[in-house]
Amino acid sequence: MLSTGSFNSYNETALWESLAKGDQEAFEILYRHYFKILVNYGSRFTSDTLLLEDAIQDLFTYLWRRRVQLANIQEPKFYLLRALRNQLSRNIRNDLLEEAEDIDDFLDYLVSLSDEQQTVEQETLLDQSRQIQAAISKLSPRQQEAINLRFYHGMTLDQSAELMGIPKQVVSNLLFKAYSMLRLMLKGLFSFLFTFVYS
Amino acid sequence: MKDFLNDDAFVRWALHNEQDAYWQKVMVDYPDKQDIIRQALELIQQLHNAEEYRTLTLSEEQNWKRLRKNTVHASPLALWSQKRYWVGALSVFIIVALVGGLLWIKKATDSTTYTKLVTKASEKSPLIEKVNNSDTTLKINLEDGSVVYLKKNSRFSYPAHFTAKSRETFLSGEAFFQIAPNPKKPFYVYANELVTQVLGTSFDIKAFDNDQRVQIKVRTGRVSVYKQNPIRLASEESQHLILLPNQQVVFNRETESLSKQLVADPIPIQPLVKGEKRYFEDVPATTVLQALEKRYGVRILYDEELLAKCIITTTLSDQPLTNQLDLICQTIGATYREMDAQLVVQSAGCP
Repeated sequence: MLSTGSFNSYNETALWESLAKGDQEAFEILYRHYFKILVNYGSRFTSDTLLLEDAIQDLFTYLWRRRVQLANIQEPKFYLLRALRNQLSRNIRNDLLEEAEDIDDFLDYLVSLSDEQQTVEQETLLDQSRQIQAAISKLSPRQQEAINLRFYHGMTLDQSAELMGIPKQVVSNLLFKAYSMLRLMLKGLFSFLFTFVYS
Repeated sequence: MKDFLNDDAFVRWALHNEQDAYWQKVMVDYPDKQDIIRQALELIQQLHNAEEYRTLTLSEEQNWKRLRKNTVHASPLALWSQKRYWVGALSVFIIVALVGGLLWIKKATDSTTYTKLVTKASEKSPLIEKVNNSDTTLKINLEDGSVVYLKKNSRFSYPAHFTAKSRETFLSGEAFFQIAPNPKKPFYVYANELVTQVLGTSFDIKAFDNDQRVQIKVRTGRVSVYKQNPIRLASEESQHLILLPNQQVVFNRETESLSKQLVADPIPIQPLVKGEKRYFEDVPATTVLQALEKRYGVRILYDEELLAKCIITTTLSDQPLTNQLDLICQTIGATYREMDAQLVVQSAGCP
């Protein structure tokens, strides 16, 4: 409101239009707005930071090259999440043969190490989130993705279904199962949250 | 609850405060759904936070440098020779503008104060300023029917006429607000680094220029508070907090951190209605705690099995929540503490 040249949901259409005309500033603003959102969604599929960085680079490079076609983009967030998902699955498939499994394990190990370290340093507020986070990580990958799309990115049921390539009813079932599992795992501390899941 | 979680509009409200007026009205029209709605809200926010912490850490800056090299700075060779000069000049200009812009924004945000905000806003439309240097509270009636009670040593600025889309006001010091509902024109209060957005409710803001803290307390309704931050908008959704009655947010200007707490003296969100039970004889402590939760709209956490065995007799009063909780805890030999705007009762149980 008091700042210009930054992102808000009101000027997003204008930003994409400027990008189509080759406006570098608009490109940067869009990049900066969507970077973290894409990193978050991408983290669902890989813990390999290099792989994810490459996919995001490829995605934005593509956007810049095809900017003229993007002037009238509808639902840009949905479009970008879908593009990242496709890009990642392409890259992961290509790398699958070259990438030794133990490198992945090692990366996972690094991630878990820093997780542990952080847990010690964080206060109770974070603990709470971490417990939920730990519980979420025990769900199936598809349940996790459904939770992420819906409650982090605010995608509708229809959009989530289209992104995941499954019918809407299946997403709904996945989520319902996820609530029940979370309820079991978080019983002690968060029972109040789930009292009414079944009502 | 499943119905709410499956409702796209509800999720958008929980995450982005969209269509706040509509959902506020649902809360009012269906009082028996209020608990479920609050729980669904809380669940969604907890899931959102958990997802937020799980994100890998990648450097936005380094990736931007790499991307810039491959996109805006890369030109096909044939064009390069013709355009070399101005591409070079343009990039220098962009870098200078960027660095200049960053420095300027940093300076501006280092201390976003009332004077700066008002100067900037008055360029758009003339503002009326009220200053209260007396010891009594100054009542200000705004054209939309909202009332502002300006406390001493405070100043408040507002446009003579609000714009068609929003009601923007500016505060330095302390004031209590009663906002006339108008979903089409959200009411904003800019106070130091914080922006409070509201559609119709009452709340209190304390934000003195020379004070290290900015404080916002909610009496009724629901407000959304966020930090003014013109450059890092990537996480705009996560930088705002939603406050319910009897909650407050404190912004520490030194550490730039926002924290949600209970107000010091939670008051009942609704007075005891006629015929509502206030005298409890030989009931499990959990029954009384549930009644308190409902009256004050404050979440109280406890071990249900342990406390079910603690039998008490008590009468609810209109006193602050903490007094009543002190009394109950003394009776059953328990303690309580505040955690993340909730109260946690700890007890070894009763024989």
